Parts: sequence; C-alpha cells; structure tokens
Amino acid sequence: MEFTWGDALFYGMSFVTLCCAMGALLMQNVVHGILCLIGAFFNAAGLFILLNAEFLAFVMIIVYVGAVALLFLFILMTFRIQDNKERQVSFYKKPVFYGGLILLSEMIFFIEGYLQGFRAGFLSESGTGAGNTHLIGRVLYTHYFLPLQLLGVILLVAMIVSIVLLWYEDNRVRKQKIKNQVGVQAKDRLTLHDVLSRKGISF
Amino acid sequence: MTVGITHFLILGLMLFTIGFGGLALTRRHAVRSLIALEIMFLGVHILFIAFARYHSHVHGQIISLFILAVAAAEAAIGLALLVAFFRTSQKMGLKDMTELKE
Repeated sequence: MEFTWGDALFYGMSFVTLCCAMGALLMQNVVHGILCLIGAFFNAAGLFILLNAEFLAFVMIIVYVGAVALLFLFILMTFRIQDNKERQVSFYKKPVFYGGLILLSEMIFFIEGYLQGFRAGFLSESGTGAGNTHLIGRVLYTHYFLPLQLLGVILLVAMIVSIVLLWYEDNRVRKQKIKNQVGVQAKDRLTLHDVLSRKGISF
Repeated sequence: MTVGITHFLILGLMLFTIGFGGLALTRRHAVRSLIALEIMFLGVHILFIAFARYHSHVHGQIISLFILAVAAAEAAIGLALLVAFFRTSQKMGLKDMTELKE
C-alpha cells in the first residue's frame, strides 16, 4: 500500500471540497458563501478528472461556475438588502486571497504530479483510442437521444418560466402603442358642442 | 492509486449530508437553501461518476450530465421565484413565505 500522487490529490481535493461546502453554508455573508461554492465546484472538477470524466469536469466548470454560481451572484446583487460596509482591509487579510492561494497550490500540485509521472483522465493512455468526450457523444446522441430532446424541452420551459415570472410592465415609461394609435376613431378624439350665447359650455 | 470507489462514495455521501443539513437548518436566507441544494447535487454527481468509473462504462456520466442540466433549470426557476417573491414582499427568508398558511 504505497501512497501515490493520485491518493494525495484525492485527499487534498476532497478535503478542500468538504471545507468549501461547509463554508458555503456557514459563512455569514451569502456572497462569500457563493465564492466557497465556486471553490467546491472547482475541486469537484479536479476529482472528476481523477475519475477519468474530464468532459464532465469541464462542463462542471463551465455550467456551474460560469453560469449557475454567477447567476446566484447577480441575483444577490439585485436584492440590495445586505449592508455593504466596504471595510478597508489589507490584501493579505482578505479571505479571497487565501482561496486563490489554495487553488494555486493545488494546480502546482497537479503539475508536479504530472511531472512525477502521474496520469489521470485524458492524460492516461486509454487502449481504445477514444476519449471520454468521444464516448459520451457516441452514446448520448444514439442511445439517449430522446432523453436529450426532453432535456432541451425542460431547459426551454425553465427559460420561459423565468422570463414570465420576472416580466413586469413599468407604467412610468412612456411608449408608443401603435395598436391604439391605428385603432382610434374620430369620435374618440373630437366632440362637437353647441355653444349657446352667454351660456358657455362645461366639459 | 490505493483510493478506491469507497473513498469516492464516502465523499459523495458526506457532501450530500452537508447539503441536506444545510437545507434543513437554514431558514434565514432563501438563497442559502438553493446553495445547499447545489451541494447535494454535487454529492450525487460524485456518486454517479464514481459508479461509472467502477463499472467502466459511460452511462453514469450521461446521467450526471442530465442531472447537471436539470439542476441548472432548477436554479434558474428557483432564483426567478425568489426575485418575484422579493419584489412583492421585500423579504427573502423562508420563514417569511407563510401567506398560504394563514
């Protein structure tokens, strides 16, 4: 039972993933929690590469970090209920600095492992010659074709629901309503009054 | 590599449990329950991919891909609901969503 680079990478990244997951739920500031969530996703992507699932690792980073976590951040910024006390702290006291330091050291660790001869994911020599992405594509577009189409429908429904839920008409904005303009008739605009002498009219 | 499937399963279950605990315990901020849900999804991802590697076929990874897309849809709809709720009530805790109870 020798302790290899794969073990070291697994234990390091799983430890950071668990810490980030705990931090995402325990941080006082929700924005910091979301940054912790991003850290957890990055480390989970590294674990996926250890499991020879590099396509999912990259999709994880693109979809979760690039879309979902960013969506969380944008939504939190629209709420505007947190007290944004911008305290002047030293750069070395910011937690983001240490998060970046941990990610950087993990990358250096990965590269060092590669130089020492450790191979995982797409770096490993697979006998078939077909990469992970190739395999997924071959099965996804044949065997799972109908579920894939249904997935597209689900995403479309999600998009429509989000737009409909957040759509609102702002009455303060003046804009041209062409339907009303075209459909107007003379009697809506012009009224004729018989003005009697010395009586006047009121309207 | 002496790390086997058991280690990955334990990791996935720990993540799932952390997410579940967070989902059960947070009531103050509704975004945090969505974060807890994402962590639970992450645990399930790790389980599926570990099983796919263990059985050395690709179906687990495809299920994981489907979970990812559905999770993205769920996050979008959940956040849209939260924003709609915040617009009407100016609150965003799960505790404040009690209109139908009363």
